[in-house]
Amino acid sequence: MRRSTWARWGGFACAAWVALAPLRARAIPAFARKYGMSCTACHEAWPKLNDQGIAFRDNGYQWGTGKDSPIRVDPAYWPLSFRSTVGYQWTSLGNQQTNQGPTTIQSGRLGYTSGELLMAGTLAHDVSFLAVLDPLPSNAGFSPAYPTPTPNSLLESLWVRLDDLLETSWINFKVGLGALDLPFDAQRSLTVFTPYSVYDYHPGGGANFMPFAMAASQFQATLEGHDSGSRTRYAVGLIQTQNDPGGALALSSPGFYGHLQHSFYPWPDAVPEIRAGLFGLAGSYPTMALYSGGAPGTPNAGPLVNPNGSFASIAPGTAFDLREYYREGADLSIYLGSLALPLNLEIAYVYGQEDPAFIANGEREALFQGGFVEADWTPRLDLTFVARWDAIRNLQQADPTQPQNLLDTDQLTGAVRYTLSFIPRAAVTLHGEVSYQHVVGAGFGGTDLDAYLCFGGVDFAF
Amino acid sequence: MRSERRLGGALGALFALACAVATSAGRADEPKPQPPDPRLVARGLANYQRYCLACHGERGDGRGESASRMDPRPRDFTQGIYEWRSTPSGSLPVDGDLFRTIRRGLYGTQMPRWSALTDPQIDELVAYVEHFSPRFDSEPRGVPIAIPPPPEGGAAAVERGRQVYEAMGCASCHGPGGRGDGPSARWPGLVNDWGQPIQPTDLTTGHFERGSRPRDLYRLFMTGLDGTPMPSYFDSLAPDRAWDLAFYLESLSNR
Repeated sequence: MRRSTWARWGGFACAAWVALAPLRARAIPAFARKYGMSCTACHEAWPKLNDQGIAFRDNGYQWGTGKDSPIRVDPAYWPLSFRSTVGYQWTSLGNQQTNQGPTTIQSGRLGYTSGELLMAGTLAHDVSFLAVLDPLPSNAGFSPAYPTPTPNSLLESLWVRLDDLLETSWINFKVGLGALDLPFDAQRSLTVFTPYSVYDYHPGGGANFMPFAMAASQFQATLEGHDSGSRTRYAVGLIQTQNDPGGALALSSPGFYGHLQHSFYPWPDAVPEIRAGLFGLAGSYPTMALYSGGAPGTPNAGPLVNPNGSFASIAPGTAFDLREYYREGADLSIYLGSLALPLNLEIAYVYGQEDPAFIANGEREALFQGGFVEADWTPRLDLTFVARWDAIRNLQQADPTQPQNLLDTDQLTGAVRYTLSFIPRAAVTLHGEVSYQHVVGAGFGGTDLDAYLCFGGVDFAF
Repeated sequence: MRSERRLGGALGALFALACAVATSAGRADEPKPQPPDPRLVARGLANYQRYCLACHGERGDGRGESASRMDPRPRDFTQGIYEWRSTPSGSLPVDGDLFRTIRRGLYGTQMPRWSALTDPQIDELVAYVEHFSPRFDSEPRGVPIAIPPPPEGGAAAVERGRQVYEAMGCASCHGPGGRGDGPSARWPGLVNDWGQPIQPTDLTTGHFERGSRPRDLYRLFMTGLDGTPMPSYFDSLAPDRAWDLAFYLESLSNR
């Protein structure tokens, strides 16, 4: 495949990132209502969790003081919250293909991110759950010129967790659809419109049909555990790669994921906490399937993806020829100053590897590495500044004819959040965000893509 | 004559000096107030605003935004009256009492376990909470009561404890079966020092705010719950009878 085709697919992928980017983010004021506490008790700066919020979540959304079970709560209480962001977004995409040649396309509009309905809490003592519905189409308010927005699945997360099995916090079992225990929670990022680039990166861009994205919810059966205060915590589980076509095995597209974290408390007045972690993931996804329909004499089975990049008409549940992909890395979170008004440095490193069969013209493993460095500073409870640098570097392209640095990415993001109100009923925050992304070879004709995004608006949850 | 006056003056001064020394030696033996460390108080403000203010209020008076909907209400720190102490009734707690309350939470209330806070954070919060009450500036801290080693438990001790329970009138509030349904609990019921309704604890649940071991129960009724109708039995129960009562209370939750 020629570089221009790569560039087109890569450009589409990046444009999709920029324009469809509004992130889902998880803040659940229903908990504040249930317990009468301020958002700040669990959120360093909502929606980002602090240590107490992580411990609350790890405990199965329970405080353990006899007020957690639904029978103990006022019957009028419903564990229901809503979250969205409204405002003005402006984007600029350079080197886009038009009939006038490569063009910088700029657009701005008022709109909203996907609105989420979040339900979370306890079904019974030591049985917790989470359900996240997204009834609005993704990016419905910030509709880009292209590509066509894909309809959003209504259900983003749905899981049940059996907590404190054998009466120990070290054994909890979660099953359902939900986010992986990532180094830094993509769904509680302080940047609403700019995701962590490396989480969802696919070597080969649009030429790669394997849909796995670290930040997306996965079907999983996971064991989780932690000590009191969640100073040491782990998660290990079986996953089913998202959007799999259904395979002939007992579990289609199986994979394994593990994450381990531990906190240190070196110098109370200067560096009060350091949290370090390691994670690894080994997944699989099919590349072949039986075809449905077709005229006599046509093949009964073949690749999932046609040479033109479209998906073949396959018979559901017949996919085979599993190929593998890997992600592994480390995370480091450093707190400076006061834990109540912290300066937090977050560093994540990810190494990825994917089978060449996922990528058009792939002849060898696709290898990449990347990560991000982010600084979150909360000088006041109602004010937070965010700065982040994301980077992705390809180490080896699956297609040996492609330049090694194709789709290498650098992204700079800044945000400021000023919370007008975070009573135990709702939170309202003025949010401003700017980002710049540079992607090698993702523009028209193999040129580099430069993308800008600016947003100003209101982020709220109740 | 002049020499006699000089001698008298010298003796008087010596006498005054001796009295001053004797008096100061006596004061040195008296416990002194231990106000909270101002440095910790200053650092505690941010932690208090983040974690505590919504319930306990900006002035520490227990009138945070959510307080009116809570049962029991959040503690009013301004009075310096604390239920959960290791010190005698009427005296101030030691820092460790507040530390434990913050770290472990209080079962049956909205006070959570702040298990993820660091020890320095809780030290700062303890200091900040204490600074709301002038008692910590003017009164010495209480001295934790001595808890003697427990004797052998068993059925005989439990039976003796039941007799103590009856003799001390515990059933008037906690009921004959310890379910918190004694005559005093019925309408109009009991109130605490702030006039807020308060229910006697159901002793059969096995859940107590500060632990359910016999040692915890011993400390509980030997220090009393200041601010509530629950008195201290330190002056009316000998240690051996107190242990019997503790074993009996423990047995109530095992039925």
